[in-house]
Amino acid sequence: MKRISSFSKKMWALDGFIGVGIILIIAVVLSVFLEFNALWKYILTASIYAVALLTLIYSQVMPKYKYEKFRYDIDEEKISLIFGVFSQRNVIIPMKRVQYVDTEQGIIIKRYNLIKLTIHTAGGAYKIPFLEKDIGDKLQLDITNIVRDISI
Amino acid sequence: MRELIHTHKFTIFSEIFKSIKDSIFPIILFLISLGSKIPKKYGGNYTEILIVIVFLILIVVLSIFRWKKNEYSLNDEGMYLKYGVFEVHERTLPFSQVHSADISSSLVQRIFNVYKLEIDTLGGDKKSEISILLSKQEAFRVKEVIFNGSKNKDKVEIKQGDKNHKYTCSLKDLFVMATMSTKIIASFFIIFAFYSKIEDILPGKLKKWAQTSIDDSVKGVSRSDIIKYIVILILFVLVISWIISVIITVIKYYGFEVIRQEDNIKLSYGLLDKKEVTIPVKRIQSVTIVEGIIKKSFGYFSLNVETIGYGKDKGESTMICPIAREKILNKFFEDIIPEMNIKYDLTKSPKRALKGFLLVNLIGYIVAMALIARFVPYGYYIFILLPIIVIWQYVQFGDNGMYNGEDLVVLRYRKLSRETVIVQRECVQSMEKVQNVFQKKRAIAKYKITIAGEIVGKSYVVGHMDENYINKNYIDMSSINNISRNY
Repeated sequence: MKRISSFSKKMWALDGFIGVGIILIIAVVLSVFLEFNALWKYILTASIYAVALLTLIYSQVMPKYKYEKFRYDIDEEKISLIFGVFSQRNVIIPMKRVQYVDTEQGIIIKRYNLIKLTIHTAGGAYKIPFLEKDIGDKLQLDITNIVRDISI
Repeated sequence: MRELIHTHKFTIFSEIFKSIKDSIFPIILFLISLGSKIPKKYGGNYTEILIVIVFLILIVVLSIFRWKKNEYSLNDEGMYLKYGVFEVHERTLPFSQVHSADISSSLVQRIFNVYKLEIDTLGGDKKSEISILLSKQEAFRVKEVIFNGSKNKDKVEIKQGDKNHKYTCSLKDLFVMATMSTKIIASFFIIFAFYSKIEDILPGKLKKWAQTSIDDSVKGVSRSDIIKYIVILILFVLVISWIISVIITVIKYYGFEVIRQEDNIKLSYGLLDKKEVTIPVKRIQSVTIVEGIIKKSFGYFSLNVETIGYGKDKGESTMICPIAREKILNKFFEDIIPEMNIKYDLTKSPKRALKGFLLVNLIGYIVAMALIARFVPYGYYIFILLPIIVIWQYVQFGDNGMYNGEDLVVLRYRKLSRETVIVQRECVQSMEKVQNVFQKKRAIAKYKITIAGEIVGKSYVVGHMDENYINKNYIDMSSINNISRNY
């Protein structure tokens, strides 16, 4: 089984920062515009700050374990994915059922030369986040080739 | 050369009706906004009538043109449809792409012997690709051509000489179904809600009068009598909701008939709205046997199939058998869907999973109960239900199971009613094994199978199974794929 790029830790942490940022903005806006004259308003604002804090901790601690747990592999018959920290998910996608494979690259992950790969089946999509670009492109090509061979 | 055929003339009426329905509000708004601004010199009061008349004439002319331009033809490969007044659309639909063809007709349409034919492909559009009004014979002819288009005509005739496998729902079955359905309870609550809202609806005077007359009559009535009245009232409401439920069910499913014809399953049902549905067996993704608690205890079941992109209600499952005796189950499978007919013995959840199962489910119940006990007066009586829930959990656990065959996977689980899902291996889009930290220690895992659906797939989940059973399943699956590929 193969691993995803080790940069993924950084990326997840960054994602976390962005998420925390958004929550913080909401909290700050609330605390500026809300008139604090009732108890529930204090509770609301405080709990949003608390959520921001928890998200921050979570998003900075978890990436390491997420990265450790994420495995993927492909062969002639199937794509297998294993991921999940608290509850492990073990996914098998038969090659025959793969419809198409997407890659996407946002501005941030482009900087680190990473790529996100999405495998589409008729029953939904599965993501392999943060692969090195050359590996990701090769994977996409490999899957496409295998799928094409099968359909012939 | 193609010979182009017009659709039924009834199309004109339905077009007129539809246009009027669509434009009635804008027109009314327009008229209101116009008001009486127009001076008498230019027609004054008659403007509005004039506008309406012009508008009606326009609609009628347009509808006639629309009908004139709406033509179709059938040839060996597909169906050709032409429509549109200002821009002409032409659409060709190869028969090989046809997914389903529905024939339906409303009460009015039936008086004029008109049937609506709706042809669907797998494409993502919500609307049917082709939807035209035809005479009855023509509609059935087109449907026949579509589904036998590519085949040899002689063969078809010989096959039709065979007896078609058929299953019908008797009126008695429908009565039973209506009686057992949850609709009764639903309509009960609706009536009850209405009853409690009556106070707001009634005008004050009437209320006062009712109040005084009730006060007068209640004076002589003892307490026990009032309780009696309430019981009678509840019974009365129940009976009414039962009648409503029966009427609804009978109207909807009257004359339910399932016929297996070669590669298609044909359904027809309905009293006022006659429905004709054709499901190609190839498109069936999974079959679910539903055994409701009440139904089950009387030995009844119903059967659903899940197809990809079927008809207008996409993503919904189709009931191919609303109700039937359990004895018929085997026969039904043999006759109608022999593809799914297998003997299976389910592998049950291992004993060691019971603890986790009970723990996870009971915690939720206990928390909910505690909340009720805390906030609802006399709420703590709810704990009386606890033993029932525990027994129920045992039942649920006992029903859990799965079977992993050569080309079929069977999953069984119970939420309220027991559902047995039969999925063809070919249709499985992905398999998942989910394990949390605690389950890993006990070598237990949850098993999730996803089949194709609209937008997102449909998943079936069986929890609390043995870890290794699932591992074995994985290996089997890949090897089977290998075999089928070699052919």
